[in-house]
Amino acid sequence: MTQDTAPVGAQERPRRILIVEDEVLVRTVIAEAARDAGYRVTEAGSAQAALDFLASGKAVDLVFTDINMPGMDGVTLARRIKADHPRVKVILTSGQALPAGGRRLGIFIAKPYSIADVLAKVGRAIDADAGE
Amino acid sequence: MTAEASQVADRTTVLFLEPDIIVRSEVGDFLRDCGFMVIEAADSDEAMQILSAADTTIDILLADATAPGTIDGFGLARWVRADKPGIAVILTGTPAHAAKEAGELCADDAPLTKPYEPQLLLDRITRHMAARDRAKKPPENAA
Repeated sequence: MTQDTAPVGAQERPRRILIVEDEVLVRTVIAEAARDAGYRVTEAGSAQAALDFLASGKAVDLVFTDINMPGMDGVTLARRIKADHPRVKVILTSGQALPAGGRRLGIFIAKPYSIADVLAKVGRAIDADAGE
Repeated sequence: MTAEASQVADRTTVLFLEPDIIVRSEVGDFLRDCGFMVIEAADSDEAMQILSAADTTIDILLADATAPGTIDGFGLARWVRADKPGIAVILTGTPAHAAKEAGELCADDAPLTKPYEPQLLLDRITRHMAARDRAKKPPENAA
C-alpha cells in the first residue's frame, strides 16, 4: 500500500503540500507562506518533477499546481494524480480560464491570487479529507 | 545540534540548488528543522533569478556541481565568487566531479561528495559561517 492510499486521519505526521510552479520567485513566496502556516512543503519546478516525487511514495496530502507550464501542463498532471494517487487533493491555478472539464480534477484558484485565499482553500481541502 | 550550529542557523539563509526533487525536499526539510531559512532552486537559471532578486539576501549557496540550466553548478559557483563574494559556496557532487574541480574552485574546501550525511553538511555550513564572521570582525587592536 502506498502512502497516499493510507487513511489520512489515522496519521499524526505533518501535512505535506506539493507546490508545482515553474516561476521560481512565485513558487518561493507561496511555499514560504505555506511553511509559515505549519505545512511541510515540497517544491517542484515542473509537472514531471511532481510525478517523480509522488512516485517515490512520500506522503503528500495536497498538490497545488500551476496549469500553464512548459512540458506537461497542470491539467494533465491533475489527471495523472487523479488516476494514480486518488487520495491526493488537487488545487489548480492559472491566469487563464480553467479548461473544460477541469472542475472535476480539483479546486480552481484564478491568478493573481491572495496567499490568504490559497491557504484557506488548502486548509479546507485537507480538513475535508481528514474527516472522510 | 550544537549551540554554535543553532545560533548560526537562526541567522543564515541557504540557497539550495539541487535538481533531484527527493534529495532537495529531504535535505531542505533537515536544514529547516535545524533553523535555517532555505530557498530552493531546481536548476541554475532558477538560482540566478533568486540571487538577482533585490529583496533576497543569501548567505550560503549550496549547489550540485552538475545542476542543469544555462550554466552548471560549477559555473554558478564561479559567478557567485566573482560577483557576490559575500556568499559562501558549498558544492556537492560525485567523487569524480569533486576531484576534477576541487583544485580550481575549492582549494581549501573540497566539494561535498554525494551521498553526504546531513550532519556533515551542517558542520560545513557552520564552519563557513564562522569563518565569514571572523573575516568581518575587526582586529581587536585596531585603532
